[in-house]
Amino acid sequence: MAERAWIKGAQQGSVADLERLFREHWPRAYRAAHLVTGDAAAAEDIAQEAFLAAVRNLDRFDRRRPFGPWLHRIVVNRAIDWTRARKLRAEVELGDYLPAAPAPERDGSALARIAELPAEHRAVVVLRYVLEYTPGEIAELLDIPRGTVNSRLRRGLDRMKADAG
Amino acid sequence: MRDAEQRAWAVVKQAFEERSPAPARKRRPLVPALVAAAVIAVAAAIATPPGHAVFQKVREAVGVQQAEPALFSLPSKGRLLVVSADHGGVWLIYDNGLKRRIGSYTDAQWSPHGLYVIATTPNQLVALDVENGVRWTLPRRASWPRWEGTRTDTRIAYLTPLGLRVVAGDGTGDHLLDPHAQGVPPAWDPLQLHTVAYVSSGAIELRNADTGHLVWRAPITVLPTDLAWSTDGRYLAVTSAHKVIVLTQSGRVHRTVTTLGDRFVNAAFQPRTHRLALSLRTATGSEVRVVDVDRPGQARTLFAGPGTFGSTVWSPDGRWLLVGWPTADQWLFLHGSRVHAVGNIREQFPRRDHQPPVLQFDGRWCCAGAA
Repeated sequence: MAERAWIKGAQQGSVADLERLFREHWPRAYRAAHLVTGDAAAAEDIAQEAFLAAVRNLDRFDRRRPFGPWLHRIVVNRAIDWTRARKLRAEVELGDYLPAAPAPERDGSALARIAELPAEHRAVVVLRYVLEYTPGEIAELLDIPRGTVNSRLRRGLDRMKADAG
Repeated sequence: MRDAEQRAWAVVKQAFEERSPAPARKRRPLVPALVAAAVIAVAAAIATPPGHAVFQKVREAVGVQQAEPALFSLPSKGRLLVVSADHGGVWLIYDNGLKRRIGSYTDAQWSPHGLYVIATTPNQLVALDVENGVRWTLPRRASWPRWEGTRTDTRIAYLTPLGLRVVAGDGTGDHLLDPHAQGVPPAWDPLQLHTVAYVSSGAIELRNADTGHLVWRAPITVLPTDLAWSTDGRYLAVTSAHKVIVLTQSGRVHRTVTTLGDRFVNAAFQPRTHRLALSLRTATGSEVRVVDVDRPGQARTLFAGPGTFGSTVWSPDGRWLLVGWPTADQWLFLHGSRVHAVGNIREQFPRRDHQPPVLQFDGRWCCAGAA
């Protein structure tokens, strides 16, 4: 209920309500993007862009709908796109240079093993076990059949188990 | 992660404050605010080596005190459409300085040869002859109309809540082109007739508006805010908050321009060149830089100043870059190192509710030969 009030407040111009909404949802949005991309800078970019999209579309947002799934849909889809396109893009800096993003740690933990999965499987696993969406909700978020969600989950978990040795 | 959260919140908050109609709060006098902002900007500029280079520009920016008190004329031939956002209406400015409000439209763009204007109201698409009034209307919840074509065969692309639609210049043949198009202004390919680039489902698509044939699709990882072709059609600049991705005419990434923490506001190709004017929001104010997309690594700061810059548009002959500077209540006409400033912008575009106008003129300085 508080979330609806925050959205309403933000729609009426309240920065404080927007900040509550942001603080509530940032950690999970960033974490989801980081787990899918394995890149802190990209995760920050993607999560930030998702919130900017939210701000741009705030007036049109239906307060009866939960905010989180809508935001996570943008985050995860962007993160998958970013991961797919990563190798194809050569960037040229404008005068300044960003330090290279550190490689994801490979410490053998479950989270590190997520990083070994293909992007599509990674996204489904993150949505299911980190953000705790049901397979039906994931299917809706990613616009894919529920059967595909289940198969990606199964394959993802199998592969993680195999990686864990 | 906490740093990332703080950085992101600063950007989101800024975007939110800029999009909101100003809440009822006491307005502080402009001059002290400007001086304070200027002091901060200058202090920051001289504190860093790169900043030292722009210090001179900042000083000039604060010193644009010999601004013309009114827009007596445009420095190049052509006519300029100015959209005053949030129901402020649309204004037409002739190169001799004549200015008139042409109606309470929410947006307006020129036809390809400047003979007509396509405008929108909340529920209508309206084709206008600016001298003789309305030619036709189409009841649609249209936004971002863009008009292209030859003198005898034109198309208008526009967005509705249900997707991207296209209609012929005489108002006939209206049809849905893509129901998945996203809320970014479409951009017609200057090389291929009736072929339009737009954002759809996380990609840039180039599609023939008549046949529906998909020419190419380029997935992107940013949330675009604008698309701009070079006039020769070789490059398409995709602007987002932190990156400008330059695609080739075949949809491949030619170059990605990024910055450290700054935010791109808009990008516009100088006519008949591959130089891209980039308007950026920086930590200390705003800057306009020009980068040649064929020559990576070289960016030239044209102008820097405290506060925010608004729209930018090149004159039709490519000699002048017009930059709105709402913080200073000025418009700047930039030509190389020359800066011609015009002040008192707010009082020249008055609103009925007496609120300060938010003026947009990107891509709306048209057609020297058509007036």
